[in-house]
Parts: sequence; structure tokens; C-alpha cells
Amino acid sequence: MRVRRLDVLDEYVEDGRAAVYTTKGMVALLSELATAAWCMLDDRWVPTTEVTEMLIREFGDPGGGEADRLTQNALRSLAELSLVELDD
Amino acid sequence: MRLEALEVGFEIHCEGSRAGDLADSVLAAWDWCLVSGDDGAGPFQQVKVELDPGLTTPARSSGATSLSGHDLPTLMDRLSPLVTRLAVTERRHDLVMFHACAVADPSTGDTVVLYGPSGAGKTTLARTLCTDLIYLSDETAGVAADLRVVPYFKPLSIIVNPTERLKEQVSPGRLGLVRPGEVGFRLVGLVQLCREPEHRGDALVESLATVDALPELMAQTSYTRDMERPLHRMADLAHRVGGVRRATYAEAEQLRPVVRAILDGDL
Repeated sequence: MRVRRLDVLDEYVEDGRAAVYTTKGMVALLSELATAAWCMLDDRWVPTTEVTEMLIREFGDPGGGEADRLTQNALRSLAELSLVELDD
Repeated sequence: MRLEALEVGFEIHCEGSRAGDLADSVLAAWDWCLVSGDDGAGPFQQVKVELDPGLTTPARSSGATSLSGHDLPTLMDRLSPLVTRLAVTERRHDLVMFHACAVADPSTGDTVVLYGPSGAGKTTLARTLCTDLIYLSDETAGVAADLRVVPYFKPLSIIVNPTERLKEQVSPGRLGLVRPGEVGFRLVGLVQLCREPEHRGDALVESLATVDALPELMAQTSYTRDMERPLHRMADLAHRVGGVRRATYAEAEQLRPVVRAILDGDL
């Protein structure tokens, strides 16, 4: 599965958390994990495994495959907010 | 007659078979917004208001915004949001405009903006706090880049008769609110209103991280889409007044010491 960032009107990051103004006119507040994932993305497609690896470097590996699950959850949350696109 | 709202001038033309009654009502409710001669910001936007019980076809006029209706309370109820919308639209490029109650210290002009959605208690707050603080608005507060607060002395929309569907538009003077002198107004505090009818005791005041304050701050601000980097502009504004506070309260009186403490620099 791959992911890429979608356009937004503005973004503001403070202490590791982002507020993002979506093109739908809503301001979404992101968790630290979602913020880190969001900040590493741009408009090029990247495998979600790369995002997982980056998040493990940033936050450590919780083990037991949890990192992959948490990454998928974070990316799906971002997709629901129309902040990223997933090509699954 | 000429009015000013957010420093935007309006020329109100009262027409129809009951034009006299209509003009009297507008004059009485909007007396704090009246300007005479060349006092207004100008050029004046033209607003035609027609009251005619026998009206079957809404009035049409070129170059003016028209409002027409069969009865006085309905027309008065609709005039306020119309003027607000036109003024806010006119100032969308140079003011940050909060959906807020704004009150100021009579001696310094220091101003606290208390923002929140409809039902958060803004009008009740204005009525309560402005027996000793200056009334700037119960609906829309405009803030310039230099933190100057642009007042909007609109009539307050209040429930006079609980059985009536429409709220009455009442002049702040008729309610005994404090009128400004020559002092200018400067923003010193931003408060997010959180009204919880079950809340007991003192108001609960929390300092919000700016990132946490942004969703509601943006939701209660007009024309943010027209701003350049709106989140950064709002965050900068918040930082310059010492951040955003969230006040949880039930009754307006609970916020009096909170606003006083902000004005005194104690909070």
C-alpha cells in the first residue's frame, strides 16, 4: 500500500502536534503520531512501510507488529480527513 | 439615516406604507451606530428596508441591498444579520472578525474578546459585564493587524417575551450598558466560551496550547479562507495576547472576575 499527501489550505505545528486546515473548510487537530506521519509526506507516492520505519525511528518500536497497525490507523485517520490518499 | 458597523458606512432607506414606524424603530434600536453628516467611514452602502403589510412582491432596487416584509418585528430581526453580513464582507481583507462578545476597560480601552458559537451566552455576557465595562459588540468583534479592536455597537437581540418567536432588537443604551468615550480599543485577551449549565462554583479557566485552540478559534472567525496562511495568522494573534484561555461557566456573572483579572494583567 502507498500513501501521499493531499493539498490543504494551511498547517500549523506546535510541540509535535499539527492543526491542519483542510480544503473542506475544517480545522483538524492531529495526534503526535499522525503529525509525524503527515510531516514526512509530500505529493509523491511512498510505501506505507517507509512511514512505519520512520515512525519507529521517531517513537521507538512497540513490538509485536503494533508499529504497522498504529501506522495504518494513523494513515487511515488522515485519509478520512482528506489529508492523505491511500492506494489500497 | 446613516449607520456605521465595523467602520463600514450604511445609508438605510425606510420605505413602504409604514415607513415612519420602521424609521422610528431603526433609530431607537441602532442609536449607538448612528453617524451624521460626514462622520461615517463612507462611501455608504445603500440598504433599502420596506415595511408594508400589504406587500405581495418583494421590493427590487438597483444598487441597493433590499429587505422587505409584512411586519415590523420580523424586519427588525432580519436587519441586524443583514448589516452584520455586509459589514463583515466589506472588512474581510483587513480585519480578523470573531463571532464574539467584546468588552473593554473604560479607562484604558484594553479589550477582551469572548468568542463562541450561538448559544454560548455572548449577548447575556454583554448585558451582564457591560454595566461597568464598555460594550463593543455581542456578535462580531473586528481586530486589526496592530491589535486595534474595531467596535460594532449593534443592538442586542434579546428575548423580551418568551412566547414570541422573534427576539427584540434593543439599543445598548436602553439596557443601561456603558458607552465608550474617546478611548481607543486594543485587544489584550482572547477567551473561548464553554457554557455548561450544570457548572457550579467559579468559572473554570484553562490556558490552551495554541494548537489546541485553533480549531474553535477558526470556527468562530469569519472569512478565514480569504486569509494568507490563516492558521499562522490566528496563532500569531493568540501569542501576542498571551495565548487563548478557555472559560467553562454556567452564569454570566461567573465571568466578571475572569475578565477583570485579564484586564488587570493578573491572569
